[in-house]
Amino acid sequence: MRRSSLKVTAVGVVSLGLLAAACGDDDSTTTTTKAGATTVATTAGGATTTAATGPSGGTLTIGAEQEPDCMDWIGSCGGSSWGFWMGNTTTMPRAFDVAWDGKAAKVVPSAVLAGEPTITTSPKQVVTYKLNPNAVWSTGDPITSADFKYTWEQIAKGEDIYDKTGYEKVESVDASKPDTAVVTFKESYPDWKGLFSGGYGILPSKILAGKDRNAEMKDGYKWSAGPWKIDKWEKGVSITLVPNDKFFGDKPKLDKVVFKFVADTASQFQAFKAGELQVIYPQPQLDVIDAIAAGVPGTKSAVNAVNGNLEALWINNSKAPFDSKAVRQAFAYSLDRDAIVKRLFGGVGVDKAVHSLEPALTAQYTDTEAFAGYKKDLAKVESLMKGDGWAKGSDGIWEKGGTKANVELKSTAGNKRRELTAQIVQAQAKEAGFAVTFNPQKAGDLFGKQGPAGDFQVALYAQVATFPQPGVCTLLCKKNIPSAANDNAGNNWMRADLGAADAKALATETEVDEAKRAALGKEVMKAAADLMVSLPLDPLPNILMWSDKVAGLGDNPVAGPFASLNKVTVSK
Amino acid sequence: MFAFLARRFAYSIPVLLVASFVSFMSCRLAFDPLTKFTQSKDPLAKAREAKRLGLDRPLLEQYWTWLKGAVRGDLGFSWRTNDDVWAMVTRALGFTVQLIFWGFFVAAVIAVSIGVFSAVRQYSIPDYVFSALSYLGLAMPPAVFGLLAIQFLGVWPKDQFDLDKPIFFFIGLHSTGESGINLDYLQHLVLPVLTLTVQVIASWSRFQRSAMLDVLSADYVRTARAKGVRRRKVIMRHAFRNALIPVVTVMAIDAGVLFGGLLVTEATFSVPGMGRLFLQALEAGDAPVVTAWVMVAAMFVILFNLLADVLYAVLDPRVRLS
Repeated sequence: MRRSSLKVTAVGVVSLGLLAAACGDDDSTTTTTKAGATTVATTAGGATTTAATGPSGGTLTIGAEQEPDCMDWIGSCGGSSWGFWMGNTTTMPRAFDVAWDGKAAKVVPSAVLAGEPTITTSPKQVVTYKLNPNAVWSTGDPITSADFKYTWEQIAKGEDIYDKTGYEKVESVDASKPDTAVVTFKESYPDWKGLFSGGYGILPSKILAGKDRNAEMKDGYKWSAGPWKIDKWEKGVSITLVPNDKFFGDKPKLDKVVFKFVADTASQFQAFKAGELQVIYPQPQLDVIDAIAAGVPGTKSAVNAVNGNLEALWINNSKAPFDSKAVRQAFAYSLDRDAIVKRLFGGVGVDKAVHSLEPALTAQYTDTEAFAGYKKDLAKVESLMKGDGWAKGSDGIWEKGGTKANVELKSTAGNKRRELTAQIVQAQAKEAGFAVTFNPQKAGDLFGKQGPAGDFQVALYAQVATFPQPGVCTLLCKKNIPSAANDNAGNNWMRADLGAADAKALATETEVDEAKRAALGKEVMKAAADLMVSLPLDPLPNILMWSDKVAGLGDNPVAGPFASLNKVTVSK
Repeated sequence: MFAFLARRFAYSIPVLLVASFVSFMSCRLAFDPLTKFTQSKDPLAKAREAKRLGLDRPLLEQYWTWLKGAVRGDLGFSWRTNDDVWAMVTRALGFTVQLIFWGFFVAAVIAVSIGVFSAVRQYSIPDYVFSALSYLGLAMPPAVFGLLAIQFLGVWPKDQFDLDKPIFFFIGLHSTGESGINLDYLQHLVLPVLTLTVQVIASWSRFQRSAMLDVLSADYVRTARAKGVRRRKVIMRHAFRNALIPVVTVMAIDAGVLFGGLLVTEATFSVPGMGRLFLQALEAGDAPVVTAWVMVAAMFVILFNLLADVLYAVLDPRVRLS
C-alpha cells in the first residue's frame, strides 16, 4: 500500500511497498560525535536515543510538518505519512510489527497475537491467527476475530478505499471463534503478513459495525488499542494524545503528547531552537544538515541512513540515448556517486552511495552490492561509448549520427538538495562527455504524468519502501511498464526489460518460501545492475532532533519516530 | 442608500461567477487530485477515486454540479479531506478574521498617527526617521520580515536573556491548553500581525502624511488659524477629518492586499487560516476548496470597496450615494 501521498507532493518521494507499524526495539550501535553543542548520533539503523530515565508525567510538544487529511486510515483520504506516524501507530493494533536490529527488518507477531500464525498453502493458502486474550480495546472489549473480518470486509468491499492490495485476494475470514481468525486466500499471497498490519491495522468491529466508518474516523476517534488515545484534533492547529489506560503493553509515561502543525521548515527550526517545540522530524534538506553540523545548543539529533528510502537517478530505458545498455553503463561510470552523497549528507556522517535499487529496509531480499562496480572510471566511459559507435565532438560531448549525448535530468522543483545533486551530476557528466540539463518539474506533473508516460530521460527522486517485502517486480517487471493493459498504473516507469530475469522478478510475487524469495530478489537485482537500468544514489537519511530534556525517543524506519512514544520522558 | 447597496450587490454576482469559473477550471486543469494514486499497487484505486469524486465526468458538468450546490449554500466536500467545504472555510476564516482585524486596527492606528505626526512636524528629525523606516518597510517582503522578526524578536531575546520561553511566540495563535484573549494570545499575535502589516503601515503612513500636508496648506485651514483658532483644534477638527478621506479609500482597497499577505504570514507563523487553506488545497488540486476560497476572497474585496464608498460619504457630507 502506498502511504506517502504527502511526500509525493512535498518532497517528491514515491513509495514502494507496504507501510507497517512497528514497535520493535532497536539495539543498534550508536556512535556519537560532538558538533558544536549538538550531539549528532549517526546510527547504523533505527536510531534509539538515550534511555528514558526521566520522571513520569508532563507534556511533549512535537512539530509536525504536515497535517493528515483525515484519520480514516483505510479511506482514500488516509494516505499521509505524518498521519500514520501521529495517529495510526499510536492508536491502532496490528497483527505484525517490524523489529529493526539496525541491519535488517524482521516482521514479528505483535502483542495482539498469541504467537506466530500457522499457514497452510494447499489446496489454498490459509492463515490462522490465534489472538492474545489480554489484547483489548480502550473500551475493555477484547480484540477478536470479528475485528479481522470487519477490517477485511471494509477494505475489500468498500468504495473509498486507498489501496485494496492483498485484501482483494482474501476469499473469506472465519470469525466463528472469537479468539481465532482464519483467513483463506483465493490465490497464493506471499505478502500476507502485511495484511491487518502495515498502514491499516485492525478496526474495532463492535464500535464501527453498522456505522459509516469514514464519518466515524475521519476527524479522529476516541477508541484505541495502542498506548495512546486521540484526545483532540484541532484542525490546522494540533493533535493531542493522552494515555490509553487499557493498553496491554508498556503504558505511556507522559501525560500528554501534542503534535503542532508547522509546515514552514524555517519557522519549525526556529521554534525548535526557541523551545516552542521539543521534537522535530525534518526533511533531510541542506539547511537542516548544515544546522546540525553547526550545532544547535541544548538539542540532540539522530541521523538514520539505514531506512526505507532510496534516491536514485531513474533512467528511461526506452529513450535515446539510454535505450543502449552501453550508454547507460557509460553514464554510470561517469559519476562519482560517493562524492555526491558526501557533498549532500557528509555533514551528518553519511558519505557512501547505495548499491541497490531496493532500500536497506528490504536488504534481505536484494543484493545490496549489485551496483558497487559502477564507480567513476573515464577510461571505461571511453571504451563503452566508442564501442557503441559514439565519438567525441569538438566540444567534448559524445556524438553519434549527428546526435549529441544530451541528457535532460528532471526532478521536483523547489528542492535545494536535488538542485545541488543535479549541479554535481552535470559537472561530473560533462567531464565524461555527457551534456546534462536540469529541468525541475512540479511534483504532480512528474509523478502524475511524465513518469507514467515515460516522458523523461533521467529523473531524480526517491522511492520509499514501507514494509519489508521485495519490490523488484513492482519496479522492474515487464508487466508493470505502464500500458493500456495495466490501465497505465504500472510502476516500471524505467521501461526496464530484464529479459530472462523477468520471470524471476515475477516469481517474487508468488513464492511463499522466504529463502527462495530472497534468492530470487538478489538474482533480479544483479541482472538489473548488469543492464544498468537505473543508478542508485543515496539513502535519504531520516533526521530526528529533540531537546536534551527529552529521553527515550527512537526512530523506526517503518513505524516512524513516534511508535514508541510510550517510552519517552521529559525532564523539567 | 438601500438602492445603492442593492445595485452594488447585484453587480458583484457576475464577478463572483467569473471568479468561480476561472478558479475551478484553472485548478482542475493545472492540478491532478489523483496524483497520490499514481504509484498505487492497487490498479483500480485511481479509477475508483475518480468516479467517487466525479472526475470521470466532463469538466463543465463538474463545474455546473458545483455551482448548483453553491447557489443552495452547499459548497460540496473537499477532495482532499472529505470534509464539508463550508465548515473548512468558516473554520479557517475564524483565524484569518482575527489576523485581519488586529492587522487592520494596528496598521490604521500606527499609520495614521505616524502620517499626521510627520506632516505636522514636516522636515523634523522624527519625520526623516519615519520616512526612512517607511521606505524600508515598503521594500521588505513579508516572508523576509517574518523570518527576521522570528529571529530577532523571538529566538534572540530568549537566548540572550536565558528565558524559559520566547517573549513573542511564532507557532499558531495560542499555546497548548490556552484559549481566548489573554496574554498568551497577545504574545502569539504580535509577530504575525507585524509581518502582515509592515508594508501597509509604511504605505498608509505615507498617504496620510501627504494628505495631511495638502489639507494643512488649504485656504480654510489658514483662515481658521488667522481667525485665532488654536493650532491643535485646527489640526484635529478641521484638517485631520478631511485628510482621512483619501486614506480611508486606500485602506479599503488595500484590505485585499492584507488578504493576499496572509498566504505568507499564515504559512510562516503556522496559523491555520485562509492563506494556509488555499496553499494546501492548491497543492492537492482540491478544486472545491480553491473555488470556495476565491469566492470568499472576491467577496472580501467587493465588501471592502463598498465599505470605502460608504465611509467616503460619511466622512465627506458633500458626497451622496445615489
